[in-house]
Amino acid sequence: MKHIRNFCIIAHIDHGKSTLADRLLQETKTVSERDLKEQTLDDMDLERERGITIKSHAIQMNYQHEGQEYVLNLIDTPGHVDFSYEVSRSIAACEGALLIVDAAQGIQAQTISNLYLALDHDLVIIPVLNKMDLPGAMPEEVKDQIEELILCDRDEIIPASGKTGLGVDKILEAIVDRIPAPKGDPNAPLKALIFDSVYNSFRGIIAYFKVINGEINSGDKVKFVHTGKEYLADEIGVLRMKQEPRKSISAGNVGYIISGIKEAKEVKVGDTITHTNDPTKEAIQGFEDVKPMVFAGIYPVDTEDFEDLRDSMAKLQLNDASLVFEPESSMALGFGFRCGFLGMLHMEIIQERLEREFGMTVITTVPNVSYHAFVKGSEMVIVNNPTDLPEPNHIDHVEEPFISAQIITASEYVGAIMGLCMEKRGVLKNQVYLTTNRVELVFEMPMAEVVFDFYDKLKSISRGYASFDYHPIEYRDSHLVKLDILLNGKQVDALSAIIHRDKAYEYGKKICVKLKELIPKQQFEIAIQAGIGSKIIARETIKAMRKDVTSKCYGGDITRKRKLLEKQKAGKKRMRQVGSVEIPQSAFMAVLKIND
Amino acid sequence: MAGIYLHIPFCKQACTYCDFHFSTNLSTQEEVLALMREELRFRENELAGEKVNTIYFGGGTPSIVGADDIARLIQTIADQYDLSDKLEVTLEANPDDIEIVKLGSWKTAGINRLSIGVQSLNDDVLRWMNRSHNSKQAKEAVHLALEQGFETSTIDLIYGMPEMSEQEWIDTLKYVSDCGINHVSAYNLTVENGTVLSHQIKKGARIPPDDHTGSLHYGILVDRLESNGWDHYEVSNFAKPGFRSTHNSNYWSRIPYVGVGPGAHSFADNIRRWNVSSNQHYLKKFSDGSYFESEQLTRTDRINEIIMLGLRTAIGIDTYSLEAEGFSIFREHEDYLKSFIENGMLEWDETYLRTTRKGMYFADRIASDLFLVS
Repeated sequence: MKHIRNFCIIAHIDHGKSTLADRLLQETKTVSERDLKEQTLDDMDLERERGITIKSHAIQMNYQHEGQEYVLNLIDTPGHVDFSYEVSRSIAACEGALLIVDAAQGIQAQTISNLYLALDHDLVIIPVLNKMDLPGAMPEEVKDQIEELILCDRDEIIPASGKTGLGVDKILEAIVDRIPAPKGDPNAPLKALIFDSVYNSFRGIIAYFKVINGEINSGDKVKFVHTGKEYLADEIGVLRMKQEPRKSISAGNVGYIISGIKEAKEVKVGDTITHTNDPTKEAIQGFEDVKPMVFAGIYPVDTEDFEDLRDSMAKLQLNDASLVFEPESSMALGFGFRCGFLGMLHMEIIQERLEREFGMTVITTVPNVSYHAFVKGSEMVIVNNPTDLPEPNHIDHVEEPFISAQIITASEYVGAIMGLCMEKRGVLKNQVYLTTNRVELVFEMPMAEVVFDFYDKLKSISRGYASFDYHPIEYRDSHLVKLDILLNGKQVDALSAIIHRDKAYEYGKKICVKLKELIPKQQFEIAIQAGIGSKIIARETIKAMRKDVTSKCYGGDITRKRKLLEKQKAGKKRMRQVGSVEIPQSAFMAVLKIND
Repeated sequence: MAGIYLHIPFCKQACTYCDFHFSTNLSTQEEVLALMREELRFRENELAGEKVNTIYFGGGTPSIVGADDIARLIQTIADQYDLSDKLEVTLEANPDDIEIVKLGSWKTAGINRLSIGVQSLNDDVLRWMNRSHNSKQAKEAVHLALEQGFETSTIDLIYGMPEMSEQEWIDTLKYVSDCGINHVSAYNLTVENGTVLSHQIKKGARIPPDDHTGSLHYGILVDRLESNGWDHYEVSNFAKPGFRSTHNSNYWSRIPYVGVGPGAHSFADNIRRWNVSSNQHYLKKFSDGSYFESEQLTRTDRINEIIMLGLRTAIGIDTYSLEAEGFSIFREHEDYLKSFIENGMLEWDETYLRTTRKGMYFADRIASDLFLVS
């Protein structure tokens, strides 16, 4: 155990985490030059394209230092706020962390919040100043930031470059010298922390774990404490470039277990593995059942594809337990699913995976958060779909989730960002100058306000020099109303939204204008109205189409024209109908483009 | 019954809105016309003994070729095909080609109907359309044709240009109604890809025609002509009683026709075919038979054609011909038809299902709603 080192990497997107990780694998000869695809650790196509890690990964390296062989386990963590619980579990499996900071960009919000997580878990931090090769590198300034942040010695900071290989040897030495070996009792009952799981279509769910105490052997009968389920450890092993089976894995080390589990939801990140016969007395602290933060309806474009969509969602859930869904039906969209996601990025990923991996084209409704409606003289109702909000006269009050948002930016953008956050109902809680030019702002604001139209605005007003991170704090009473959209007097359920009362008028007006652009003219006039209860607060009118017939149809036009009308018919089949009004799919996402 | 269409693919100059096949290179004229006679002879069996009741010279500009060439083509048809006693023989003519001598030779050749490309009586419009005539010439040509005994002639008009005022259009229609002509085809200006007009609009050099003006002008057209006793027998076609065009009507009743010449379409035996739209390719590929493409109509195609064409005409959809395809439009679209009949868009007389005056404005939309999807 004393020759094992477990560490993770804390870095902001684009600060070069994956490239540097690849260098470590190369230097320790874990991977040959030839096999080194760029960013070996990110294996989903989507991850490589977006340059971020969505799932956690783990890889084991061997490293010779002063005549002694060490086992280094690198536990890679997701790089996005949507997945912060997974990050916390990966951190809990480590004794040390590399803090990678881009020498040109400095410390970002995401880095800081993950750094605090690591410090909370008493991890030893090795600061690394990456991308030293860049012409825009400002090592002295960024060193100041790091020094101030982790109160380290300036010379503890390792200058490095994933591109040139600078500092890679120093990093490996520091891992061995500075990070302590794991502490654990190899003779105590088995206690292992699940920090991730992956899905393999042949072998089922593979769980990644770190053994805290005891030892796990191939063929052992094991129990997952929180789910209460018992399994046979069909295969255990370590994670190198491939999975390498082992007979046993003991305290301090990291490995995988295959035990014929079919569904991802049986393997919960943060759960404890123990022996059925000689169980540990207490489970590992910090387990949480992750709850979705953002909800949206997903419907098949072609109503006949509902069953296919159900199958696809079920398959996705096999390897992504954080996706939750239940069937729902909409007057406008037919049958579909109300889905819960960890955040907006997670929602986009699910949508893209449905399209790429399952060939499904779907309509996604406008995302919303989960509300708590307190009904007079009755109990609380959880509202994940705006149409489920009880009638206004039955409601005592409604609560919505609030977050603590952390924004780090350059001082010249502070004014604009404060303006934005206040417009989004944010309240400034703290303002700290990290250096003379870098400011950390902390706001409390409703989660609903950052769900859409926030990141993009933040980026544009700060010209990209603002990083953003958040965590949920609590539910708070807000003056919320349900805004309905009506087309010729008929409500379009899929367009209803829960919104703060003070914003309802402006929002109602904007969405009516947007819908006017998106809904094609029909033979009759279409009234687009926004209303709260029975009160109409905005209206737009689409004038009737006066003519829909082409002038010429002679011998040479007949075939072309027939095909054109057949195509129109097929297009119309993809539209949705509310009353007599036909609505194109794009209209259901209208709110997202409301400020275009 | 059957028809013959001859495509004369030559023009002196290109009209900015036109996307029909034509060439301004007149040097191959003789060769192409000779080959068209050859094609007529070659395809004599396609009409399976049906009597030909219409011959139509379209283009391009048939009025720029010699009357003797026209005569030879008609003679070839007379030699090879079975002609009806009541035969309509139409020739499309530009106003500036219409003169007394030519009219005489056309008559001798067998032409009994002219389709005069008036297009507009606004000289500015005629200029930007790059027409080779002005409004005065147009009126004179109409007058002369009528005077020389072409009383079944028709004129072509274009509306929907943003610069044409309502009053101007009303005046044009008043002229048309009073000048003695007995047939009019009027078309909404459309911007077709690849035309000079579409290029000009993309560059911002010309205002694109808008729906509002188009439907406004269309409404005026229908109102004015109908109230003056014209028979509005198809979306864009109007005739004084007894003067409907046999040729046009044949298309909408799905009567077979042979089309010869580059770019010409044909329909017979459930096959629609079209000749290559290039004079050079037509000349080169004729000998090995690769000068055309064709498509066999499926049952769905036939049903959709019957619906689409029927809804454009005053006669309507012959529901018996749909029954003959084993398709009951009332069983298929009961609720839809009921509501459209109720709101006055469609009418039904036990045999024909047709658009009303109001419904004809939406003939395309109704057609696609009623289409069968395979």
